[in-house]
Amino acid sequence: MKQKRFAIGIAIFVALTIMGVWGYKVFINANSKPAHPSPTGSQPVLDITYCGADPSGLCVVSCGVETEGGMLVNFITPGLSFPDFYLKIRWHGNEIVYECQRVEGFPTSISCVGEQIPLGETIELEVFSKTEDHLIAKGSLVISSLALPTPITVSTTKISPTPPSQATPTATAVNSYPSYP
Amino acid sequence: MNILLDGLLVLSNHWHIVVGVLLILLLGYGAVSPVLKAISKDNLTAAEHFSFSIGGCLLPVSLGTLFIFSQGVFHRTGMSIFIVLTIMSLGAFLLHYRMKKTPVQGPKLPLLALISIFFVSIFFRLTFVSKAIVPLYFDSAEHYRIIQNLLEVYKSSESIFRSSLPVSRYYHLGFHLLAAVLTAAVQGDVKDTILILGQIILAIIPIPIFFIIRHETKSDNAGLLAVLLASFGWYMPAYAVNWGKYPALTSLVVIQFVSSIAYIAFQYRNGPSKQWGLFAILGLGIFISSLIHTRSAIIIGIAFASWIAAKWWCNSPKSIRSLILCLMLGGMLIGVIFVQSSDILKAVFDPYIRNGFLFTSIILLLSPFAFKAFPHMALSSTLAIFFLLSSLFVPVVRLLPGYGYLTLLDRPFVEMILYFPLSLLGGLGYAGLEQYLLDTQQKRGNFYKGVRILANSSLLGLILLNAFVNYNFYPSDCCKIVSYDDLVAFDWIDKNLPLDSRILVSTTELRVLASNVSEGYVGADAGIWIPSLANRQTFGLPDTLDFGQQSTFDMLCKYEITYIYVGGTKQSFDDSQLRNHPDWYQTVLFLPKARVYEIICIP
Repeated sequence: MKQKRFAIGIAIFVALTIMGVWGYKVFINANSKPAHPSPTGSQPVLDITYCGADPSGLCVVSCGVETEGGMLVNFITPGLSFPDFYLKIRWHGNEIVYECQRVEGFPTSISCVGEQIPLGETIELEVFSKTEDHLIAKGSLVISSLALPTPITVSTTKISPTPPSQATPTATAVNSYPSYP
Repeated sequence: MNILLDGLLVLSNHWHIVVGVLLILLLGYGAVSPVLKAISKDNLTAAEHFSFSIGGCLLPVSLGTLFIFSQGVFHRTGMSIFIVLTIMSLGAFLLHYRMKKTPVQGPKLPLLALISIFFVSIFFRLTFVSKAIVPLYFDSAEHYRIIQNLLEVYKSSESIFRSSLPVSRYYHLGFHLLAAVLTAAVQGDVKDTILILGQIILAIIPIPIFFIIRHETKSDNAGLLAVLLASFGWYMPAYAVNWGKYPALTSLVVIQFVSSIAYIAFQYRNGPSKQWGLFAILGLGIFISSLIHTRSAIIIGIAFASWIAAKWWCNSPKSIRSLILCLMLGGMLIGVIFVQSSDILKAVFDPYIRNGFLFTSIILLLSPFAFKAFPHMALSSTLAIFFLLSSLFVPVVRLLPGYGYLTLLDRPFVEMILYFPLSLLGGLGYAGLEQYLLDTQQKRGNFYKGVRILANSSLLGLILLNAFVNYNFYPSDCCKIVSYDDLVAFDWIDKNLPLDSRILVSTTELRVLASNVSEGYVGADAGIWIPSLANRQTFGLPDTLDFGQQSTFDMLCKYEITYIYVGGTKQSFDDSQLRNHPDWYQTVLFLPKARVYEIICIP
């Protein structure tokens, strides 16, 4: 009797462990398949705004410029399953298309690159899904953060630099900001 | 409401990592639980056993990790750790099956309460992940880089002994190996696995405290109170995830387990128990905790010294006991004054006095009951606080190769671990009060029964109320050094800058020792993540560097630094100086919180 219970116990333990691990692996594989639900015409079009301190929905984090004079428009998407998209900007009767890509390793962060638009302009943004070319979101924004700044004269404390003989050089100045604040 | 939605969001986005990590820890629990049951001869209640075993679940997981990394014979896959832990659990189960068993003792309600605290805590703590772009502060960048490196060793199936260590000066191998194995097992991203593992570790940390308090006081309420104090009484130790102190936090679980094992060994010292088994697990626990975080050996030493000293005090003649106690309390007061007088060290009390005054003062009020009913453990806890504070002043010169002046412990570690002796004191004090009220009730009637119930419910209620009203489960702004702009900048650097680019990043001094001696320079903004996320070499210089000086420009050219990265923290380089010299520094990427400048050197 004791041996029988022992064998049943072992069998249950092994079965549960195998089922648990197997089930987990199955779910992992299912989860690793990209899910990009395509919005249909009946789905509401999202509003695009600048992201606040607590980003939610599809929002613009910032605009910037790069070497070649191109403009970057950086978005945060509400979740991993948000579809791949491209951006269309309407400005002074022009329609400019921006190519958008997910930031590698950070799939909710998306960066769009295209023609530069001057600071202070109001632009109409439209976000279209790449796969089905549906309008996902639209909004109107003033390009406020974008700037290749003009030189400003700022008085600074003169500190002698230390040669970077190593990745972390010797100390030159005391910093008042606490370590591990 | 947001907190619930954020918790659900993290669960839906990262559920496979959460489940995978929990499954591995559960297998670890399955391996250690029967062994502890055999050693304790089934003398523990169900809740005690759960609390004891969950503290030890990292032991088999860490041993399995070491085994997997040390062997170079078998091909490693994501399943390796599952297989090893299943074999260990099965072995432990067989061992326990062959022994004579007794039914589980004690009420089931405390067990249910502990399990509920554990899972509710995991859910709420996961909200941290919803607002963290990457693990926080500069330490995390280093952890990420090392784990990424170890993951490559893992995938190569080569023995760790045949591989070179990721960096020369480093001492958290146990944690990094564990995180690398977990990342491979859950097939997750390193940063997500670190973040989620950290939050699950935070949920585990308070649970083992129940065992010591319950076993000492026989009070389930006192044990639960201590667990809740450690969970939500103060913002430490949970706040340490903002500092990227993942190895230290992980070591806390094992430190508490080692304390529990040592306590049990002391309790069973006169019985015919499995002493050899206890000491073997004790040794293993000390080894694993030291491997996870070297300084945990010092904490264990402090706990041991406190216990022995308290035992000696308890055995002393009554006449000198009061004298010694007064001397000790006086010494502690002096220690507190010393710490408070140091600009660097006074932050050590912030979580417990400035922000956690309510619960610290309740513990102070309860401590006379603790000393009266449980003098040995109460004094041990008090002495541990004294020794922890003293260790901030004990110099260790040239003990570790590559390090200069150090102290036994640094401020952040002491700050994060003080919750442990304080929670013990709180639990003991509460049990002492309970005993006092019970005695009074027996002598004077039922009125005191009401007082006992009121004390019980009001203390537990106060902690829970504090958790829901004041407790911050989200990342602190203090330590977010990476913004979304930085991510875009890293992506841009990776795609646009030459592979041999040498990028200058901002650094700042690390000062956490009583002597105010700088321990060197550490990353001051997101630039510290460039080697890991943008695959380019970086060089650090102090954030106060003056880019307006000709000598600075000449030096940068001399050392062939080609780009400068300016992040968005207060300690990033002052890029107005860079913009004032467009002939020396040309903007190649401009985002509000991340800029890249090219240095125009004339050959």
